Amino acid sequence: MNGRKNGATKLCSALLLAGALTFTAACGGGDSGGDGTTTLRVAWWGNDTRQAITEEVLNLFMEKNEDIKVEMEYSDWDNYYDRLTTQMASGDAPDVFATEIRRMGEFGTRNALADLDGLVDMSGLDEQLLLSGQLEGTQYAIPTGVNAFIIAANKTVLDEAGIALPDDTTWTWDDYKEFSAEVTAATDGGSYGTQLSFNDAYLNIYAQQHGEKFYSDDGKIGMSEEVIADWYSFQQELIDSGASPDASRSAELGSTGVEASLVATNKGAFGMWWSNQLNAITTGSGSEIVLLRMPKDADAVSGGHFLQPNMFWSVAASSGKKDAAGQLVDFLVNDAEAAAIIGSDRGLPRNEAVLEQIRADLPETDQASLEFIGALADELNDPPKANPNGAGEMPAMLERYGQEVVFGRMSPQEAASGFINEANSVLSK
Amino acid sequence: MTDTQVRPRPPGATTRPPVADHKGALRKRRRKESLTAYLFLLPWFVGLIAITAGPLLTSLYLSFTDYSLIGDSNWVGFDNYIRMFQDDPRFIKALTNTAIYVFVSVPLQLAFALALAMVLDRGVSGLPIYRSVYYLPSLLGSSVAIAILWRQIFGADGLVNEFLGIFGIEGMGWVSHPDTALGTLIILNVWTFGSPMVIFLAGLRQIPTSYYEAASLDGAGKTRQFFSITLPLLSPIIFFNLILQLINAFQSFTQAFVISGGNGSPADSTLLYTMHVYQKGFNSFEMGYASAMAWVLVLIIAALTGVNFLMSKYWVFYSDK
Repeated sequence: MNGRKNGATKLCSALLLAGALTFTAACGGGDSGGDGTTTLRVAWWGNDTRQAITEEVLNLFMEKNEDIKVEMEYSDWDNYYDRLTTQMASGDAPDVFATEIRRMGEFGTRNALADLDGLVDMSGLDEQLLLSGQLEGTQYAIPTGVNAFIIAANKTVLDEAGIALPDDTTWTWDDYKEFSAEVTAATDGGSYGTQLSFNDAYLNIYAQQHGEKFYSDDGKIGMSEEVIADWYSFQQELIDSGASPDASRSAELGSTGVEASLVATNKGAFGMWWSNQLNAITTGSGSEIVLLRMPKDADAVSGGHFLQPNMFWSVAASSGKKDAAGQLVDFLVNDAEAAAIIGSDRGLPRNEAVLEQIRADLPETDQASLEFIGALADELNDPPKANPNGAGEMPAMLERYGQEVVFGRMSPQEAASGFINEANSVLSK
Repeated sequence: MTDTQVRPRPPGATTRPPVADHKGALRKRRRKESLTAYLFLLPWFVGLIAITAGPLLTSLYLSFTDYSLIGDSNWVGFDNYIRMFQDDPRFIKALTNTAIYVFVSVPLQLAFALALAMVLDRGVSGLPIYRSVYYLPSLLGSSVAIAILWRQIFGADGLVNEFLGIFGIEGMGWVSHPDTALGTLIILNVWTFGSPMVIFLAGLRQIPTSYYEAASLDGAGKTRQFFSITLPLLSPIIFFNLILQLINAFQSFTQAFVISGGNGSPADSTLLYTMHVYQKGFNSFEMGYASAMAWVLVLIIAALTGVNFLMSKYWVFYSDK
């Protein structure tokens, strides 16, 4: 009798405890505010340099706006979107977050982004550039600046190999391959000429040199199988000629970021990166890094270079603090002090007024990027429009088929046709 | 003579036949015991209903829709399930990879676990230390840190190649070559043999030494003893470990995700089933399709477990039956 009563008491307390636990769990994660301040959550991806820069600029924002508190959520590139989309799905998206051109459209068409008209002052921004953040006339994203996809050349490694800096206005893809192979040979395997890149921007430039477009007007793959196959076989030639490390080392390099790249660790003469990564490469290597145009063949239609607004700030459609969020985005793209801190880390600012104010104070690497893009101005193709849905999957897909080629499991033609089929099955759905 | 006969009856106590009294007490104790059991199970039930059941049923529903994580979804019937087998070559690839991974790593892992458990059972001094040391990988094996470490060890400039270099063998980037990448994952899974080992160790301790004594008196050698005494008596434990590790292996994710940089590279050679599910769900915004794939995995695991239970009749020996 006694025992049973005891059991019942135990049961009751266990139920209560379980109930209490569930209750606490359900109530967790609420807003902490209450003292009149607004808390904004801001998310971005990037390397350590960017993390430090962004933290600094957000702290400045908090100093200037004492009623707004900013919570920072950063991650590396690999997991950035996974995290962001999960947060969106659970209705817990950060108020302000960074996107780039390949995914922006996807979020915009699914109504996850707020209309920024009226929230952010866009009068100072480059109109042509603003178009890339628009979907059917609505401004869902503000470009942070522009980048060009370029070749970064490491002077130290080139000097070691006894090779002069190539003339980038005349060099061809064959030159690029030969110079690279010479570096590998001259340093006796201590350094390599270059590392493979399966970046879609590279293929984009390559296609434009051949008069083709990456995406067709109906949002499918606009390139011919031939051009893609050529591109893949060129990558294979880089390995065969010794210009690049063997297939498995290349695959290993391909899975690391810019800091671990050959050119940033003084183990490679060339590397294809975005111009805003110049700072990271220079810091990492401690060497003089020179920006070069992409090589092109004599019969190329154009150099293929374009200015890519490859990063945007957006405000979540679900955010309950759109005004404060807009204020923050406005600060990030229009404030001269903010721009001075950010420099070219998120691309070179295209806000002319801001740029003039900060130009002289920019670090050397940024001045170099500005100069380079300035020199490129006459050769540039139009900036890309917002990419079709599914564009975010292109880089991994290109790399996967690239690996099939360099590991000898597919011919470049097979890889090219495989890529086109698979890409078209996910694009513009 | 038992106690009850000696002890004087309390005054006023009802007289009942002693057998019935005994049965009643037993039933009472049983009821009390099962109540205690349910109490212990309660937190799990609460967890199941509050945390697991909802998402589980939701994902079943979602598997029949084109849910995209953000935005609305439409009912598409069995489309997702049909598409998997007809239009998704990577699904087949992921299934093949996972099958290789599971059917190679689990038997190896169990063999290692059993072998080490038998060595430790011999009565090594400092057993608790060894047990902990070997158990440690089981705790760490599925962590991100170990996966990153693995990537370093089996990288082009990793420990493995340095070791091979001593013998003048030129290694390669094991994790980044499509022919060997899955192998490194298998080794990682085998390395986490600690938890089945601990269970084996407990099982070995249950086997009465008298059996071995009797067998050796009859002239049975060590090998014969192993096959005729140890294996049969340990078979329920082996079966238990097999089921558990099979289910675990099918659901492996973290290691492959970290080692391949999240995309099954190189050339999809480390694309495990769960990773394809993850990629479809979070990279391609096809959560409906991903849910369908998750349910197919549930069916595969259930079917395999069912087959195992059927087959267990032929090799699992329960001594108390």
